[in-house]
Amino acid sequence: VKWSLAVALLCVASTARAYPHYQLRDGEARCSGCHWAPAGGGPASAWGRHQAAGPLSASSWLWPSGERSDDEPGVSLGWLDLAVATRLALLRNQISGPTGAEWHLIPMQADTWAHAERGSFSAVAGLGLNGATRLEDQRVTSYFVSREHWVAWQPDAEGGLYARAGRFMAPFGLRLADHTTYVRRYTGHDLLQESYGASGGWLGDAFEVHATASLYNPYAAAGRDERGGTLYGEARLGPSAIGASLRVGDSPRSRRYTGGVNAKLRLDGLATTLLAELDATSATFPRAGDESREEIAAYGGFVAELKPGLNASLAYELWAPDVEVKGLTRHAVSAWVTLLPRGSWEVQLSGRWQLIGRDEDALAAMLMGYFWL
Amino acid sequence: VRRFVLLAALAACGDERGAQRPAELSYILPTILEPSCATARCHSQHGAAAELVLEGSPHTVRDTLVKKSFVYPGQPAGSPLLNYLRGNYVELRMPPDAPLPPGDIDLITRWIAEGAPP
Repeated sequence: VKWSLAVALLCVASTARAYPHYQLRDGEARCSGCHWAPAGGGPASAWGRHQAAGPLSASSWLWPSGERSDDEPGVSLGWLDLAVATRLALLRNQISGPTGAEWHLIPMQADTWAHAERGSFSAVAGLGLNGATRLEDQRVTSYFVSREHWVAWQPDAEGGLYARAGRFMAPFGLRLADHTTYVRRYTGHDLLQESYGASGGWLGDAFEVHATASLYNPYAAAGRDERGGTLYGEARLGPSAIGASLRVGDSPRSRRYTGGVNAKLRLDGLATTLLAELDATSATFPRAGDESREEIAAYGGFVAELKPGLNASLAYELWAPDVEVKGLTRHAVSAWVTLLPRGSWEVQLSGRWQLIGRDEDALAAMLMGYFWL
Repeated sequence: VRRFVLLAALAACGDERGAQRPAELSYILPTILEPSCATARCHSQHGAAAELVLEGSPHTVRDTLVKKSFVYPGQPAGSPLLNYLRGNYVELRMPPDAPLPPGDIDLITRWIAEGAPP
């Protein structure tokens, strides 16, 4: 058993903190109801943090006499909203083979966020620690990174048309299907893979549409010189939501065309949300004589709310990077339990077992703490 | 002979498409190494973990791997790159978050056995 305090091992990077099961829980049909970003994701808005401190947290039964409102993270100064997000994880990774189990203590995130709003315009900027830069690069600026910074125009705060430009993560499905490899390595949705681009769309009660053109990613190899775009639409009908996504990415290294569908169904009686996602990609590699392959990624699972603020999930995941080649497909079963004791912090215990190709397997267990200041 | 043996082994497994994948870095780089290893915080130009960059032109990456003694063309058994990918004689198997599937390691093995062409 080996221990390492990860600076270099920030390479291990983070898992998604995507909780689409909250979307249909209390009639907050739009993700933007609780996030600054029009399509959801990223930092929570003041209302989202208020929800986290209230109905989404376990404070009501852990500390019945507690004052929830005092526990809302972030600072609101009228038109300016400030928050700090930090994440720390303890990971145990057991891979088949001679290396055995590895333990990593991973400082995943330390970001400060600011959101300003005046009339129809709003802006978001984040500044955080950058865990991995060239060792020979001693400039102070190399230790910091702004993963997101964008401006948005939305005439009607309740919905309708919007436009956004800057650096942000393009809306694209649930991004739950094999997040470790498919999403992070092949879709341009890894940490630091937020691209510069422009986005526009429509936010309605029954449906929403987001179109994004991605122009430049300053860091990631696979996507840095990629130009492309994503189109994501979601329709909601009662306790369910069905989404469809398209993604086109073109670079000297590869051309990728991805189509996907996803579905969410809230079962109120069981306090459970069913989630499913399927992506299919056709990829061509110009530098390799236009060799091509077909890829499939899939996810199916559920999230059950055991008590307010205490959720559990179980899911199956599939990632086949070339459906015609044996020995490449990954099957995984993932499970997690999350407790939000208060609005400002959260603890998650997760496990993921995967079968890789014919005879490799890996088992990862992680304890993660998430703190908002 | 090595190539014949490897192709025969793959064919025996009924994996014709796997046997047809080009054992060239121009294919291995965009399909395996860049997505899996050259992530922003690891072996990209930005991260350059362990001062190893696994992105760029196939010729450049091939030269890097040979000069830094990760690959000995024609000698897969003695190439440290495969030890990292398989977890043999190293503390940390690569990639550290999830190992490459055996089919990809087989292709990289075949690439080295065939002289590690760019």
